[in-house]
Amino acid sequence: MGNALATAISPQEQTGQQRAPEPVVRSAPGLVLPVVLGASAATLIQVSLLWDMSWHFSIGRDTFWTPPHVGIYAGTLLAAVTAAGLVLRCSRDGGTRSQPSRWVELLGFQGPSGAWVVLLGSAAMAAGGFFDDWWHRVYGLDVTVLSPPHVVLFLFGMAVVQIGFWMLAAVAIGTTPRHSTALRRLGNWLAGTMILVLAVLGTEQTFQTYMHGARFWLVTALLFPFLLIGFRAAGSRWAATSAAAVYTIVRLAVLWILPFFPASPELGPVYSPVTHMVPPDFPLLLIAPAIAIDLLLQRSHPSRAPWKLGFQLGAVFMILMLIVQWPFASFLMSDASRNPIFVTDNFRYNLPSSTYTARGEFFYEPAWYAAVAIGASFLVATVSALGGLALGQWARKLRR
Amino acid sequence: MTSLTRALRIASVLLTGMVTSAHYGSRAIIYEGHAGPYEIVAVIEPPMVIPAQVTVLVEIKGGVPDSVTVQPVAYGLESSNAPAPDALRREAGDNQRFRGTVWLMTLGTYRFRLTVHGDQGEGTAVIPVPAILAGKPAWGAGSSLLLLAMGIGLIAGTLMVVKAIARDGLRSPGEPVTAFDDARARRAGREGMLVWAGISGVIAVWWVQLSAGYDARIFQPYQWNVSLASESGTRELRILLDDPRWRRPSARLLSDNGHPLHLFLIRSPALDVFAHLHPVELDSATYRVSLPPLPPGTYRVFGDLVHADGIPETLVDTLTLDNPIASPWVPVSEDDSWWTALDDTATVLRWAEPRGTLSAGSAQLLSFSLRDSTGGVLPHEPLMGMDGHAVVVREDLSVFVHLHPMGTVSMAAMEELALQDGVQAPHDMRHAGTAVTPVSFPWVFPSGGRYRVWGQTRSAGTIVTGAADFVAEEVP
Repeated sequence: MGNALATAISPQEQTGQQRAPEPVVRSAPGLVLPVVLGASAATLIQVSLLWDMSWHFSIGRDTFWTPPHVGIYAGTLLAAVTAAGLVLRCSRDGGTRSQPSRWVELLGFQGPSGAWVVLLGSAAMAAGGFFDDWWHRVYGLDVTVLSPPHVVLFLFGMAVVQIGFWMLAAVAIGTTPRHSTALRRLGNWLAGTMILVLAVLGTEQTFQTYMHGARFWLVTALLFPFLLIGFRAAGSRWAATSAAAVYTIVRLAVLWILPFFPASPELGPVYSPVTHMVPPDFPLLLIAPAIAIDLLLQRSHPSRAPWKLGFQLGAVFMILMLIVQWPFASFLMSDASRNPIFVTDNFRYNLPSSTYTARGEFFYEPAWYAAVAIGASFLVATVSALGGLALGQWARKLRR
Repeated sequence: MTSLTRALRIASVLLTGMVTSAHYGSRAIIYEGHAGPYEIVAVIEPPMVIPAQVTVLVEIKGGVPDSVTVQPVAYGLESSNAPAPDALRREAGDNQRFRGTVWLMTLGTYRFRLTVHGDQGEGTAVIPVPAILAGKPAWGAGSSLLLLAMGIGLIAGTLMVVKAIARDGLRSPGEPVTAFDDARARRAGREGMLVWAGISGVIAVWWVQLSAGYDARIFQPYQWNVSLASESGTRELRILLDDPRWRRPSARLLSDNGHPLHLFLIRSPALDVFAHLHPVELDSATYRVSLPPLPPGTYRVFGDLVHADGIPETLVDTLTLDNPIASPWVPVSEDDSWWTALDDTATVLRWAEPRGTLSAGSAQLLSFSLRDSTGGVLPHEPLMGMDGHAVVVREDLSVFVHLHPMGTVSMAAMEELALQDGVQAPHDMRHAGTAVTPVSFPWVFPSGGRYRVWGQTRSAGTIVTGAADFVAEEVP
C-alpha cells in the first residue's frame, strides 16, 4: 500500500487495462450480501458508539455489558462472521477450480482483500477491548476520548473494519456490474461511517467552543478532506456528498432522538444538571465542502497534475468550511440555538459552569494565532486531499 | 464474639498492602458510631487508583434497617453535586449487614453520606474518605504479557495481510504471480514495518507522557525535619514541615482534638518509652514542643496531621537523644504525657486479655479499663474530648496507628466535612463527666506479628498510660 502515492502521481495510471483481458469468472461468490451486512455492521457500530458517548456524558458509570457496548460487540461480531464466512467460501470454491487462486491468498486460505482487512480490524477490536480494560485497571477509568486503547479501538479496529468492507465494495463493483449502482451506494454509505468514526476520534478538538480557534481548523483540515475524497466508489459522481449526508443524517438522528430518554448521573461530581440523555454535538456542516469537492472532481481527472488538484481540493474544502461553519459556530454559541433542534443547552454532567462551553463563549485565542493556524490549515488540507486522491487511485486498481 | 467483631471480620477481605498514608502501614477506614438513631459500624477500603470503585461495608447494630444508601460528595461541594445515593445490598443471611460499591472519580477528600432507613426513621453518618493516588499502578504480569502477545500478533497479522494484498490485490483473476508482484509485496512489508515502527514510537511517547502525568498526581507526603534545640535550659524539638510540591490547597492544618499536630516518640527497639506530645506553632512552617525527661536512646518519631482538604497523614522520622534531659519539664499543652515501662503508679490502665487467638485481617475489639491497687474499677474522664486514645505499633515499627473509640476515621476531617454538609458531626465525643465502662477500640491487625498497644485516658485530672502486648497470627 505504501507505493500507492508514487503510482498515483506517476503517469502510468491505467496499468490495469494494459494487462491481459480478464477471463470470464464463473459463479464467484456473491459479494453484494457481505457488503450489505458490512454496511449494517458498520452502522450498528457507529450508532452504538455515539450512544456510548452520550452514556458517558449523561450517566457516566458503565460496565462491560451496557446496551451501547453490546451494540458495538454485536456489530463487530457480525463483521467478523461475514468476513470469515466469505473467506471460507472463497477458499472452498477456489480449491476446486481450474485457476489455482482467484483471491488474495494467506495462510492456506483465500478471500477478497477487504475480507482480510475486516478480519484484521475485528482482531484489533478484540485486542483493543482487552487493552481498554487493562488500562482502566492500571490507570483508572479514563474520562477522555483520546487514550491509547481508544485509539486502537477506533482507528485500528472500527475504521479498519469499515475500510475492509469499503474495499470489498470497490472490488465488487468490478466483478458484479449488474449491482454496481447498489454497490456504489453501499460504498458511499461506508465512507459515511468512516467520517462518523473519525469525527468521534476528533471530538475533543472539534467542540463548538473551539470553532473560531486553531485546533479546530487544523484537525478538521487533517481529517475530512482525506475522508471525503479518498473513499469515492469508482464511477460515483456524488460520492463525497453522499458520505457527508450519511454522517449528517446519522448524527442528527442521534442528536434528536436521544434527549427523549431520561437519564441521571451515576458518577460525581455533578456540575451541570442532567435529566435526559446528553447527545454528541450537532454535526459539522461537511455537506457544503462535500458538494464543492464532488463538483470539482466531476470536472477533473485525478491523474493529471495531481498536486495542483490536491491543492485545489484542499482550498475548496477550507473556503467552503470557513464560509459555512464559521458563522454557524457563532449561531451555535448564541441563545438562539438553545432549542431541541440544535441542542446546545444540554451539557454533560461533569462540565463545570465556569467553562467556556457552559458560558456559551468561544475559547479565547489571540486573533493572529487563529489566523496563522487557519493559513496552515490550507496546507494541511492540501496534504489531506492528496492522501485521499492516492487512496482513491489505489482502490481503483484493486481487483481482488 | 460480638456482632461488631463479626461485622469487622469482613474487613479481612478488604485489607490491601501497606501504603504510607494516614496511619502508617494500614489503610482501612473503620468507623463505629451513630447514623442518627442507629448504631453502625462501617468499614471502607480506599482504592489505590482514582478513578475507581470503593467497597463499603455497614453493619447496623441497633435498630431494624430497611435499606442503607451511600452517597460520596466531593470536598467543598454540595449533595446536589453528587450522583443519586447508591443502595447497598443486604448480605445473604444477615439482615443487619449491607455491602456495596461506589465510584470515586476525582482526587481529594470525599464525605460519604451513609443513610440508614428503618424502624427508627432515617439517620445519616458523614464519614471522611481520602481519595488519593496511593502509588504507581501495578501492571499485572499475566495480563501484561497477554497484551504484549496480542500487540505482536496484531502487528504481524497486519504485515502479513499487507504483503498478501500487495502481492495479489492488483492482479486480475487468473493472472499468475510475477516477480514484480513479489517485489511489491516485499516493499510493502518493509514500508509496513516502518509505519508500524513509527506508530509504536508515537504511542510509546504518548504513553510515557500519560504515565508522567499520572506520576505527577501521586500523593506526595509532606516532608519534615525533627531536630533538637536547647533553649533556656529546657530541651525542645523543632519540627519543620515542608510541602515538596507546593500543591496543597492551603498550608492550613485542621485542628484534631484541639491540636494541629500530634507527635509520638517511641524508643526503639525496646518500645519501653512512649511520649504523646502536641507541638505548637512557632511560625507558619515550624512547630515547637518541649521534651519530657526522656532517657537517652534512639526514638522513632511519628507525627499525625490532617490537611485542610481533609486528607490525613502520618510522618515518620528518627531522633537520637544522647544525654538524659535533666531540667524540669514544662509541657506546652496539658494534654502532653509520657510513659516508661518502669512507671509505677497507684492507678493502672489495664488492657483486657484477648479471647482466643488474634488473627490478622479480622476484626478485634481492644479495650482497657482503669484499676486501682486492689483491682477495683476506677472512673475515667475525657482526654481531648474522647473516652480514651490508643496507639498500636508493630514491634518492628512498620505499623503505627493512632486509634480512637470511633475507629480509624480522622476526627478533624469528619468535623470539617460535617460542617460542609451542614449537619452536626455524629460522633461520641465527650467533654465532661466520668465513666466506668471499659474504653474499646475497633481494630484490624494488618499482618501477623507482635504488637504493642498503649492506652491513655484521664483520671483525677492526670493522664494515665498503660501498655500491653498482643500477638496476631497470620491467617494463610
